[in-house]
Amino acid sequence: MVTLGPHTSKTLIFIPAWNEEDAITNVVHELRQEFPGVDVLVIDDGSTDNTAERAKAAGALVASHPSNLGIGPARRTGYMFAAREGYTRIAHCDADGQHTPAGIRTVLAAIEKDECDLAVGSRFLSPASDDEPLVYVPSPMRNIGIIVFRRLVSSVTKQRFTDCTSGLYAANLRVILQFANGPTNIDYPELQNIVRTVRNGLRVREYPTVMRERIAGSSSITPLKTFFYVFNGIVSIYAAALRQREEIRTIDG
Amino acid sequence: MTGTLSLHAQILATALALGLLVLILEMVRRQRIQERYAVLWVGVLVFLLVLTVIPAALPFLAHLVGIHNYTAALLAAISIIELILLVNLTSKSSMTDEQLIRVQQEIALIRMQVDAENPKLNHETASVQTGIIPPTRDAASADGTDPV
Repeated sequence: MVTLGPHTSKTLIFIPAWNEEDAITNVVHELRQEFPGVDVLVIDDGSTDNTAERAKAAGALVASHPSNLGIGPARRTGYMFAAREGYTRIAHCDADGQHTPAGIRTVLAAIEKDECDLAVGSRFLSPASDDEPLVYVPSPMRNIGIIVFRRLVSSVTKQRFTDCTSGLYAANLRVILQFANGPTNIDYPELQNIVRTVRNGLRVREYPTVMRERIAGSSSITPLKTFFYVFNGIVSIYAAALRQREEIRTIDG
Repeated sequence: MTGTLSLHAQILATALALGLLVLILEMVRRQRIQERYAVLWVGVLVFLLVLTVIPAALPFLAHLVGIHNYTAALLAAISIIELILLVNLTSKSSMTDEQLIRVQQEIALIRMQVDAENPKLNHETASVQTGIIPPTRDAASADGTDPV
């Protein structure tokens, strides 16, 4: 395996991005400033704009899909890269600047302290401090999905979850290996990720994080897609719940 | 309406099934359908041919499943067969999707390595070679940086 430059750190932050040229520069700059020594990877998911060039110019590693594959495969490319290049900790966030460095630090710290195998940044748990000004308020349509999924995932996993569609994760090597291999839901992987990880006997915990307004662009979930979203989600939760458990092997066990 | 197919209908149905069978085999010959996917089609069409060529076959099968209207039995059989073929097709399509996704993920990761080893090989030359990657637009002028 050829390595891409010297890895002084074992932590990777990766960002799936599809046509996010307006936001990506700031997001990468901010991460590189706030997390010196941590590698930043942008997965350009078949963008037709200058996302890849700007990410590269901002100092990120860039992996470009030849065509648009979807958010699930884009994140899996990040996990595959992490697994192959020997990273033992990752965090991933969205490319639109919604996730704050403070939030990323929260979930990464949980992994560093080995509080869990997968740390999920929840927008709905009450934050630890009140000095973050902006609070996430979902649109009514999106809210339907959020409530339905919260109940379904909680009942299937027998663990209380508040934010099952969060794009902010931090994970250790076990979870990296789990997500680098096997299937991924193409459109809405988050629900399945939580169910799958809990089912495989790994520890998933939520941490309160605050979200900002999007820097640019619009959300990829529109009201028109809500029905597809809800049905796809329900099917994927039960598929993950009924699949065979996977055995996650790391060298140190 | 519970009699066997009329001779007219029987000839029409036989011709249709035979025509489709020839079409499938011809498409296999021209490599428009792979053998592995043609097997299901050939099986279905041979089954339909048996039903149309042997007049007693349809009543026999219809009684077996408890349908006394042969026309309805034939339509039901065809609907079920079509559903099976469609499910099969969706499954094949999903598997092809996953394979395509995996291939593109590998391409993305391998290209990262190639770029890291050969800084001169930029994405423009890569796109000319593969023809898959859309050329970057005004990368240099847009943000004043070199896309290499």
